[in-house]
Amino acid sequence: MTTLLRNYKKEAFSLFRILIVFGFVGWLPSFTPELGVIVYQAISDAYVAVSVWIDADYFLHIRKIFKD
Amino acid sequence: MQKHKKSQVLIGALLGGVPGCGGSIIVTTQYIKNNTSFGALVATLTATMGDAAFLLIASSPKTAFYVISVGVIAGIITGYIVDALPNNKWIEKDKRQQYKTEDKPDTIIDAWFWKVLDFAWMVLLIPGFSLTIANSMNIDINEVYGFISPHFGFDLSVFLGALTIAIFFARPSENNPIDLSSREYVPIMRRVVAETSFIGAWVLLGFLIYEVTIYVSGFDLKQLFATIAPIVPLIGVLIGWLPGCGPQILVTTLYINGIIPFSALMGNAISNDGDALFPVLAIAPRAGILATFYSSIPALIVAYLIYFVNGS
Repeated sequence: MTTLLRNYKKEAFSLFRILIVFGFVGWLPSFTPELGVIVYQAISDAYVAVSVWIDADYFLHIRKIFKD
Repeated sequence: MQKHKKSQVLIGALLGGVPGCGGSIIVTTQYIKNNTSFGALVATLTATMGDAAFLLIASSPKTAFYVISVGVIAGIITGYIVDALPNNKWIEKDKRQQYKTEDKPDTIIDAWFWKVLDFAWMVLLIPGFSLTIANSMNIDINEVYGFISPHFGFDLSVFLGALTIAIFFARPSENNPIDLSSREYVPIMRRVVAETSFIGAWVLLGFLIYEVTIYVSGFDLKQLFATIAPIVPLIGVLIGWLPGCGPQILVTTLYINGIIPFSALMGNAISNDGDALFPVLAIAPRAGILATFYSSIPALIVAYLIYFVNGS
């Protein structure tokens, strides 16, 4: 029971952190529009740059899952 | 490795050259268990480029092959030299025998919350894949999704990028990518999500530092590094001293964006020890510190050799 409660606490905290990140990213352009645009551009550029690797990693692992 | 003592350095360097930290962690674990020589440990840590190798392979496979090959050769040479040196009494004070294999801990690895997140992450692969294709074919991502809305492609990449950062910050300590690659009890999907979010978040940090620095200070980082060109390879080597893959991914990101020269990347790639250094620092700290120092010697030699040959 203690473990279960502890785990729920950890999950709630993880969810809270996800909401904080999305909240911050969503709020930034309304606080400082110019910086918001720059940050959004950086996030977009970085994701597109890393997406090749992310997809490759996915496919390699997914292939392994199906093999197993 | 126990059977072929003379090949330990060679095997260590080859495992260190495997992209990611998995190969290196195998050797560092064997060193901690007293199954390999100190030279093999140095060879592995010298050859290791860590998770930054994945990023370089994805963006420039030829450069990645060159960097990894030079790292492995430097690792083999350094490893054999270190093994030929007299036994170092300082590192013998490390209590390596205390190492024990860890059992599956009582964690939230199987929690429903992370299963939902894994599933969501996997579903987002489909639009993410279209971004990859568009990027590799130099097509504007907004054109791909133009039929939905004019900025949908951009909005999608921002959302996926934000999700990557969110997962990086939200993951519990038990899902730390440092441990994931070596722990079989962690589901494969969870390892993928943790690893990709870890690397993605550090790449995002690199882009953010670059863009925001220019915006706030008006500094041109490329120009700044060009001004201090002679010490940039040294900076690359010194960043390699930091344990973990994050700072090294940052250096690789800066290289990919043309902000730092190849000599700095090469110096960092040889000097850095990736996540493999963590278990060594925990169990055999003296060996970890000395191995880091030894791996920076070939890093400095190779980096400055490239610097003087290339002129940057």
